[in-house]
Amino acid sequence: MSASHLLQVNGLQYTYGERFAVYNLSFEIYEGEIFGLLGPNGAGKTTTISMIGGLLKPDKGDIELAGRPFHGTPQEKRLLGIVPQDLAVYPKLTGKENLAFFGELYGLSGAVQRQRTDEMLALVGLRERAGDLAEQYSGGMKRRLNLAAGLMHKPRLLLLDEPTVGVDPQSRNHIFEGVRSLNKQGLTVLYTSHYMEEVEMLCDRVGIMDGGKLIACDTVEALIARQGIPVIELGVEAAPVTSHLLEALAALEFTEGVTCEPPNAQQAGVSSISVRSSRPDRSLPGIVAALNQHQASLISLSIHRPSLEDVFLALTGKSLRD
Amino acid sequence: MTTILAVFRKDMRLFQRDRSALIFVFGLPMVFALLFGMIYRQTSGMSGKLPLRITVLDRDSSPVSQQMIANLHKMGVSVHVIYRAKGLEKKVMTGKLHAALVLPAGFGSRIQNWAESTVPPKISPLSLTLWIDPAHTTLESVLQEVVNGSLQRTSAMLKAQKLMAQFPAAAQITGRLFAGPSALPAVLHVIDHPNPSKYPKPTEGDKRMPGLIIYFVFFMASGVAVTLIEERQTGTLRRMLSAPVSPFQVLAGKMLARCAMGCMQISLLLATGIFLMHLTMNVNLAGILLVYAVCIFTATGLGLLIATFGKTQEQIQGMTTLALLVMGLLSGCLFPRELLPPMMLQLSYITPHAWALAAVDDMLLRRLSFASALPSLMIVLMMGCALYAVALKRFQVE
Ligand SMILES: Nc1ncnc2c1ncn2[C@@H]1O[C@H](COP(=O)(O)OP(=O)(O)OP(=O)(O)O)[C@@H](O)[C@H]1O
Ligand SMILES: [Mg+2]
Repeated sequence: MSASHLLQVNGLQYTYGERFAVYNLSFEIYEGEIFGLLGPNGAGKTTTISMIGGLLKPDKGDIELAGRPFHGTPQEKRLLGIVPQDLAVYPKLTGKENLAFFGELYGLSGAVQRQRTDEMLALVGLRERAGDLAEQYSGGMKRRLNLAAGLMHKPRLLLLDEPTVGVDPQSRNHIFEGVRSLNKQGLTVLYTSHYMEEVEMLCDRVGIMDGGKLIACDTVEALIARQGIPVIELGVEAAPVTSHLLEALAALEFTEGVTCEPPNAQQAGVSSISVRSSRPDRSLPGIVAALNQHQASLISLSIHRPSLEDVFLALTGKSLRD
Repeated sequence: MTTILAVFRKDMRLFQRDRSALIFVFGLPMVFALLFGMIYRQTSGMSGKLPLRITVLDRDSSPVSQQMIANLHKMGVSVHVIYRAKGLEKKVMTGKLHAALVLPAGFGSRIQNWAESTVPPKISPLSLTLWIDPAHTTLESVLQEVVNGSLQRTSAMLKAQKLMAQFPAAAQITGRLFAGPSALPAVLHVIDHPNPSKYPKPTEGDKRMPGLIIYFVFFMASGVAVTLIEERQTGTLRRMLSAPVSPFQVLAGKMLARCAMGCMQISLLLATGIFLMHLTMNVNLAGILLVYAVCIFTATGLGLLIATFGKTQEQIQGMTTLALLVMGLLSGCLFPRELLPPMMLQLSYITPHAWALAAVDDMLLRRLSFASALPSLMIVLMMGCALYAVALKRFQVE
């Protein structure tokens, strides 16, 4: 990739007492992308974000931000917006007051600060509740406020630490849409999560962490592709499934292999055929045509794609959420 | 019933793990019981030992004056006798001595004359002067009683001796002789505040309010510690530090807010003092307010230090409440320091409260200049700086 990187970490390491929380971590984030850091509880995601945010000093390794070594100076911190995993807002201040305060920490004041506060409230959908105390917000609303507080000063790199924990689908969508639209406007995002669907949906590239180490890092597609190709499962009703049919399916473009199981007790008269295809979308018309040609009627169809879950399972031998 | 027991057991277990509850339920009562127990043991009844201390300047140096001193001893006063002294009065008025009694030259012969005359003579009464530290007047009336008592006892004994010499048969009824002769006419002048002709007597408010104010100002330490812990627990502290803001700026802002609250608190207490306890305000007001201001500084330092020790809010609240209460009791802020046993009196000087109170007392009760109160004030200030230094060091390590 030739795009310039905004952040680069190299051999980052951090220990709490004896235990490595982060070990020899290296990756880079390109300008304008959403980079996901995926890992189970205790993988070291928060520790990594804390080091990038200048809150923890790495034991080893270095961080480069916007082409310069990062030392946590005020100018460097201005480029970063941190949204912590814990709800770091003041319960006894209103949403508006919270945002105003965090804006002021970055030097915003007067009309600029007021305007920015309004923008952020609108972005996270809290305009109507702006005057309520944060303690009266629901869990999801607090999360959204937490996110808005990290955006007040228009950072270049947003560090999002599990921003959707304990959030209903609606609030989650709100957060996603907010992040996407900001990303379209040029914001680079580091997004940590242990929900692989989120990362799959949102991120361009993913780093997978476990036990403080980065065990894989690539685009979502590439990671999944490494795990093998999608399988198209067909339920077919035919007198018998002829070998001609199977040959025809195998001969289609993008097909990598075909297997067939005869009808079983649960599905009388229905055979299941699995077609492994590198491009299921492109294979489907050919498959349907072949079935028609051989007088086989299609009862059910499903496409099984390998997910990041499978990637994680293959890399670590354990499931992501256990 | 079993469910009740289940809830009971759970609550007992939680209680056992909740340190602040433990402190409140066991720690506080223990401290109170110990302190007040020691104090009341001392003050219960006149037979018990009140910490009464008098320096006696014996200008007379006669058998009679020595008898007087012996009688003071017998009544439980610890007497320090000197025979000549320059500026004794000043030493008492500046708080260097607790109380002083002067037995003038001719003291003995006056009593002797009175004892020998059978008809009550028409003489002017014997006049003695008792000086008392203006800042330690709680035991004033007791001291007065004790001195008067010793005087009457001394004169009565002398009279009894004369009577016995005249009528030997009376020797058999010595025990009842005290009541016999009429009392020696004597006047005890008590001087318990400086320059009585110029300044009015200090009010109750002057004696009690400064201690209360200092106690409550130091109580702010608890609030400081709690907000810091709160910010650390909720993550807002980290959030602030992730902004281009230095830890120093965060702390300075927080401390400034606390100082403002402290000022409001002091104003409120002062107003209460003025209206309810006739607190005097026109004595070195600037100097006294400065002492309170330094107290705020030191209290915030104390709070900051405490915050670096505790983990949870409850723990902090329990710990600080206890520590501050003990300091308040020890230092004489909550009740008169003269009543403390001597050992605790020594201990009281490890508290900043005691030094702050001494500085205010110097100005308000002893009417000394700001310069005289400055050494005590400097100690409070230095304690504050030391607390800040240690706290900031510990804060950085975290
Ligand atoms: N303050 C701390 N003291 C000691 N150990 C810690 C501390 N914070 C984190 N750790 C340890 O460091 C490791 C990494 O923790 P970290 O919080 O970075 O994980 P995470 O990936 O963010 O997990 P989660 O998904 O649960 O938030 C864990 O083993 C954790 O126990
Ligand atoms: Mg975390």
